[in-house]
Amino acid sequence: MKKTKGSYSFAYRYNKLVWFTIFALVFLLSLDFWNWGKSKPFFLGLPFWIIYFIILTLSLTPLFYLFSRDIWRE
Amino acid sequence: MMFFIFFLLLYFLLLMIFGWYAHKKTKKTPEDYFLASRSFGPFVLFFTLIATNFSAFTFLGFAGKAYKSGFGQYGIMSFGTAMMAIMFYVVGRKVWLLGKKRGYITPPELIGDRFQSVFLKWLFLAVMVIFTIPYLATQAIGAGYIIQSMVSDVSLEIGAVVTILIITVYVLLGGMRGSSWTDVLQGIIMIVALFLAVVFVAMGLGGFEYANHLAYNSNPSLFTRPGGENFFTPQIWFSFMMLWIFCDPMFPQIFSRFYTAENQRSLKYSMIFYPVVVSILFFFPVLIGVWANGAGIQIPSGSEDMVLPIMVEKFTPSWIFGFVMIGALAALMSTADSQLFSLSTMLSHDILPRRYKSEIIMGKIIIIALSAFAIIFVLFGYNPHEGIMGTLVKTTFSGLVVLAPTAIAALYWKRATKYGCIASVLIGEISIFILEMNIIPTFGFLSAITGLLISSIVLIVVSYLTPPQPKSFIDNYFNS
Repeated sequence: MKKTKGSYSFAYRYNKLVWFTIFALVFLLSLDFWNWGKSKPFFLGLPFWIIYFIILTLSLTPLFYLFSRDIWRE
Repeated sequence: MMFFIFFLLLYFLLLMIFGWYAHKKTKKTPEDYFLASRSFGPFVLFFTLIATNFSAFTFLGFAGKAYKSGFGQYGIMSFGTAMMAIMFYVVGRKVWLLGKKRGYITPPELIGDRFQSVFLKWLFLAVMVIFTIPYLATQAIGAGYIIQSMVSDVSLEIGAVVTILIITVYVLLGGMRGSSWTDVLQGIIMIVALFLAVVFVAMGLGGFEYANHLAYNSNPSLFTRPGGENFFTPQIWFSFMMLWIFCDPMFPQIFSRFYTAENQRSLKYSMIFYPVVVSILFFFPVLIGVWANGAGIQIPSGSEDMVLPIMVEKFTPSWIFGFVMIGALAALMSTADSQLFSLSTMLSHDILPRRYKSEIIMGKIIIIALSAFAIIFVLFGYNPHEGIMGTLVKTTFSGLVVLAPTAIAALYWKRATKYGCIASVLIGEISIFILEMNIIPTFGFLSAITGLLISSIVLIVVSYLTPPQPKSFIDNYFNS
């Protein structure tokens, strides 16, 4: 079925909403209060929550890539 | 010391060569001198955004804070700064588009034109200038620390003043090209230097894992939260995560760089790769700061910012130490030159009457005047007991974050009015002053975040209470 301008615009806005939700969730994951008080060495003498933050921060790169492919039109 | 002086002279010489070459390539038009004719591809834009944002704090203040409060510093800095890169889309893309279509050169110019208000333009300009000068001065203080630690005969003030003078020369010569090309050089030096510092310090302490083990045995609170001195309360954690996202794009040196992209692809690549560099680079100074606790190093209170130079000196060969200190110098000079240049661009372009060549000459005069201001701040205004971070959070970050609601409303909200924005900025700044003075409680949050909330609410309420801009103007502006 041929896409109309309206349905295209709706899909674009829906995608934006999805991405807003994804980034909001990632932001919430940075408020890791469940890891408070934990310090036991996990890997190379570092506690788990530091590894968690390295991974969380690095995960933004693939997310930004997918976001720019889906949403960022030149 | 000899290695440092050799590297220092070589580094200054390279900066001058870059500045001179940029001077040769720059045409005598405001758009070319102030924005390099909007020509930066992904490589230059990425490095200039990295180097401009990584400052004296990255090398010195950050390690000092980690020495006292622990690994939590990595969490609040790395994720918040990496997440901030989404603003390259939210703010940067629109700023770039409007700049290209309407010929904007400075941030206040966009705000003033969008709301058709000279007062708002000048208010936006005043806030950016007033709150960036202390940040500029802290870069110079960082340079003073570094040079003093390497050449004991040189005082902190002399080191800071010499650094400001060197920056002034290459920024005067090369304009935006000079500032950004040197950022690429400085960014590369900075990354290599931090990498070498961590590798050699870890080796000196018996390996990466053993260094962590020593620090953990010395002070386990550094490996957890709330961390040393119970610094990381949930409110503080949340505040810092929010702060970088909204504050960093309001730095005039970052905002102005959005205009310089050759195309949107440059901004896009910068956004995508920003978290990679941030996640790695911010880890290094925090590691060194925490490891200092296990290395038996005692830093007097108020001198924590010296922990990185002390650690590197103790655990690395002298040539590595000399090079790492050049890296620290590169980090802060790349920020300072961008600040100096963006401030002078705004002051000459937004306030003075526009006459092509005279605008560039006025810009150069203002660069010299601002350098003099920074020197005065270094000599008379700095309290070393606050540390670099303390001084910055209490001045620059809090003052600039209040501009974020106005900038975002200008780009996205058609119903926003100039009265809403003026009230937002003024009441936001007043509320931060009141919060800093402890006249009203902050409930443990940074006053910058409470100020951001207040200024957002004020903008919405006052905009709805005041007449909207004519529909024809709004349609024309947003459809252009």
